[in-house]
Formats: sequence, structure tokens, C-alpha cells
Amino acid sequence: MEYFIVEEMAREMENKFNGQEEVEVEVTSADDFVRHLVKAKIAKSLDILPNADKLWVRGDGTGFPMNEEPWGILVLEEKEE
Amino acid sequence: MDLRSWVDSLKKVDRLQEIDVEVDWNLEAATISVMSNRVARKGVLFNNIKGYPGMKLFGSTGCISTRKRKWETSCLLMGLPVETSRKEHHKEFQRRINNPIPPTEVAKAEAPCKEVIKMGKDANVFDFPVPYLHATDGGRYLSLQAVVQKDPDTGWTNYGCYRVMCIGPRKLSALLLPMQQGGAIFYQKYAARGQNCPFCIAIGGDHILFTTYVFGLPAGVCELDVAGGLRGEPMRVVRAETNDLLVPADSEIIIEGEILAGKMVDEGPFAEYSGYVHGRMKNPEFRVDCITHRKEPILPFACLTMSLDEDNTIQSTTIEQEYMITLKESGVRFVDIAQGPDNPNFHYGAVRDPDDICEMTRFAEEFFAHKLSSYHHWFMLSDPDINVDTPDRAYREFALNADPRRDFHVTDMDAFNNPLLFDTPSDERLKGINQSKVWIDATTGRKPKEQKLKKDQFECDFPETLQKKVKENWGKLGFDRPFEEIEPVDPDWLLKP
Repeated sequence: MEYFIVEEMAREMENKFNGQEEVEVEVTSADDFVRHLVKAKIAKSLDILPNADKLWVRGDGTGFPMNEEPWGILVLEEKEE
Repeated sequence: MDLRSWVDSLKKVDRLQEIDVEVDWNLEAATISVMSNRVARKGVLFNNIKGYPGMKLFGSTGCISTRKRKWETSCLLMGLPVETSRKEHHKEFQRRINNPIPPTEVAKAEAPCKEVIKMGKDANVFDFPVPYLHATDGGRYLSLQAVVQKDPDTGWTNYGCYRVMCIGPRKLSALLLPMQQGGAIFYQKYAARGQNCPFCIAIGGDHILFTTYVFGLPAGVCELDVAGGLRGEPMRVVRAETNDLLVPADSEIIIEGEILAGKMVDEGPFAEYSGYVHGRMKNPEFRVDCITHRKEPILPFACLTMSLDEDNTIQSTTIEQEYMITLKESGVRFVDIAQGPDNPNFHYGAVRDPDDICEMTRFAEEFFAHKLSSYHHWFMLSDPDINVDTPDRAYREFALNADPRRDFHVTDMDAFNNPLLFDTPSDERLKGINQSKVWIDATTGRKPKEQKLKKDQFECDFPETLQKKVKENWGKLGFDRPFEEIEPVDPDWLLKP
């Protein structure tokens, strides 16, 4: 699985993306483009979260990925909105 | 008439490409459609969509037109020969919209769009192959449809084409711009009362409807009445399942629900009609309560890029006529007005008297007072003999005649700024402020007589007898491409009945 998050959210929560902290974020699946609210652990490198899925930060203005290498996301729980 | 009739019309004139091999809704259908727009000028019917057996996508739906004859799609939609001249097309178009025909309501049993009905949690927009259109988009988008809403004060129903992002099975959002009647104004009226705004999204149906969905009609005028006038018969409408809105009965898919008061979600980015990516915004959340559809529905889409697409072939033909009608009704004296075939934000006008600066200023005032001009910051005026629908000639006039010191007229930064245009800083665009307008006088007017230039082209440089001889013998001289005649400009064509 691959996901992306919006740039603004990535900037706001950047300091929590250490692979340890549990965060609640909205992510969009890159397979079917359905948006999910999830509890997850996120790291800025797949090396920190070895079994994680890939996470891309989509630029708010351009739509292009902001990160050259994928970050890692371990989805722990899908939340009901 | 319905979308399937339009597909058949394209097939009859050999302008439809049916693709039976499996195609992915994820970028592949859009990629093929854009290339068809660019090189094949054919509508593309995708019969085999990955993961969606029995469903079809339909792209490049406005494919008939070319850059030189962008009204041809409209001719075919209106049942006119595609060879119809621009003048005749525009005259007939304006005659028809001046004779609107209100729609006829039919029973639900007679409405094809009710063949399948899914309510509540059974409704899922991802049951349909909603395409992922551009690699930079924030999600999958519906791109060719009407968002239907009713004014809670007057009961007037608006049918407008806004991009719609599919976020979850029952969760959508749409770009609702502040100057749009239905999209933003009606929603805000409900939201101010703490009420959700009922909506329907009508996809498919008679393709001539799309012409009216993108029309900037005056407040209170119903798009379906105008579509009836264009078609020459009433549109068939049916009542929605969960609200009292009327939707085209021959639609392929109807999505019903409510726009939630004050609840905003991330919408975008989306590669827009301008050919540039419009960034993410907060827009209202649409909750889906019901979806009805035809069996084996066809989902039309428009993948707008810098190529010639629905924006140039359907919308542009409509918009230039809106300006014509408004300026004519305001008593402005002009010869013609055309939207650039490559640039929907630039218009070309031809004035009757290039020496009359007052009339040109009136042209500018009326043009920039039109509600559609929030999308159009520039236009250029040329002499009456310039065919502004072929702007390569108008570009020359601009380069030769527009004196940078005298002929660029720039307004104050007092106009509404449009988030979809990119010539000003993004914070100003998002606030809708600080937009200037520019018009360029590229006429030969107001120059001393001795400086008046003699124009130099085939039609005026050579004796008529010699022109006629060359034309008649063109093939005999060995040329394999047909002789190209430029239609002479008729300064009174807009005024003739």
C-alpha cells in the first residue's frame, strides 16, 4: 500500500513523525484515492519503520510529491469520522 | 436525446474511437483522451475499464471542433451541418436561446436514470470508474456534470458545472467559487441558517445540457429552459429520490445528498482548464444519501489540459456569444468578439470605428462588468476588417499597432480576483482581491491621416480578377491542398435578424 498526506498537515505535525509517536492523520490511499482518517506511526524514512507502507507528501500548490524518498506509515487503526 | 445519442452522432460522422482492450481508470483513460484531443480529434469510448465490468468511460466528448472551427462541436450538438459558418451558427444559437422551452417532468418509472437505485450506505461513488485524471490531482474527480441546487429564497434551481472530488464512498467536495450562483451563493444562504443545502449531481444526459451548465446565464434563468430552446424540444426531468430537485431524466448517473453547513474538507489540487495546477483549498463537504443510475452507465469526463478540449470547443463558443449578446444589448457598437482558441482567458474584439476611443472604452466597461469577466482579465481590440476568430492575424495587429505608451489600458486593482487564474499572488487570489484588468487598443485608429497604413494581404493586394483566376486554377497549378478562402468580415452580421 502507498498513501499520501497533504503538505499542510505534514508541516504542522512534522515533529511527531519520529516513528514512535502515535498520530491521528488523514491519508489518501494511492491505490484507489479513498481518504481515510487513521491512527498511525509515521517516520521520515522507511529505515526507521521497516514494515511500514510508503507515504508521500503531496504539495498543496503543485500536486507533486514533496519528498524525494518515501516516508513510512504504519497504520494502526482506521477511525470512524 | 441522451449521452448515448451523442455517442451515436459521433459514430455516424466517424469521430468516435471505441476501445475494447482493458484500460485503467487511473490516469490511462485520461492519457488516451488527451492524446485523442491533440492528434485524433475523436471521442473515445472506453468499453472495458479495469475493475469495473459493464461500465464505460467516455472522453474527448467535444472532439469535433478544430482550432480554426471551434463551433463545429456545437453545430453537431444542435443538429446543424458541421459545415455551417460561424456567423450562421452563432445566429441560430442566439435565436434558439432567445426561445427557451421549459422542461417536462416525467414519472419516475419513465426515467432511465432510475433503473438502479441505491440508498444510504449502499450508495458508493467508487462503484463507478471515476477517473484519476492528472498525476498531480489530489484525488479522483467528476468533471462533466451539473451540480444542482435550489435558491432557498426564490426557488430558482441552478445547474452549474463544478469540479467534484470523490473523497470517500459517500463523501465528496467541489470547488465552489464565490461568484458562482448555485455553487457558493445558495450554499451560503443555507449555511447562514444552519441548514444543509440539498444537492444533486447529474452526470450524462443530452450532451447539449453541458453547453448550458457552463453558460453564465443571468440570475433566475434556468439552464434546462435554455437547453430546451437549443434542442428545440423540452428536456425531460424527474424528481430526485431524497429531495425535491428536478434532474434530467435521461442522465446516466444521479448523485443526491446534502452539502453540510459549515463543514469544510481538503479539496484539490486539480489540474484546471487553464492548463495549470490549482492548489488545495478548503471546500464544503457533500454527503451522499442516494445514487440512481442507468444500467451499464457511461461516465463522461473531461481531462482539461493545454490541448484543445471541451473548454475550448464547447464553453468558449458559448462564452463569446454571451459577451456578444450583453454588449449588443448595451448598445455598444462593435463588429465581432471571439475567445482565443488556445487561450480561454483572452478575447479579441473588432470595433466599428477605430477612431472612436469613447466607444472602445464603453466596450471595455461593459465587458469587464459582465460576471464572466472574473475569468477574463484581458482583451484586445482590432480594426473592423480583422477577422478576430483567426487570432494569428489579430496577434500581428497587436504587435504592429499597439503603442506601449498609449494603447495599454490598465484598470485599478479593484476587480474580483479569481482563484483559478494565476497572474497574481496566491493570497490575493484566495481572498478574491486586487485584480486589475487590461485592454489593448491594437487598432489603426487616431493616427494622423498621413500615418494611416495600407493593409497588405491576398484579399486586398491583388486585383479581384487575378484572385478569381488563381482560385479557379488552384488545382491545375498542381497544389494538392485546397484553396483557402478567408471569409470577408461583415461589420453588420451581429445586427442582422
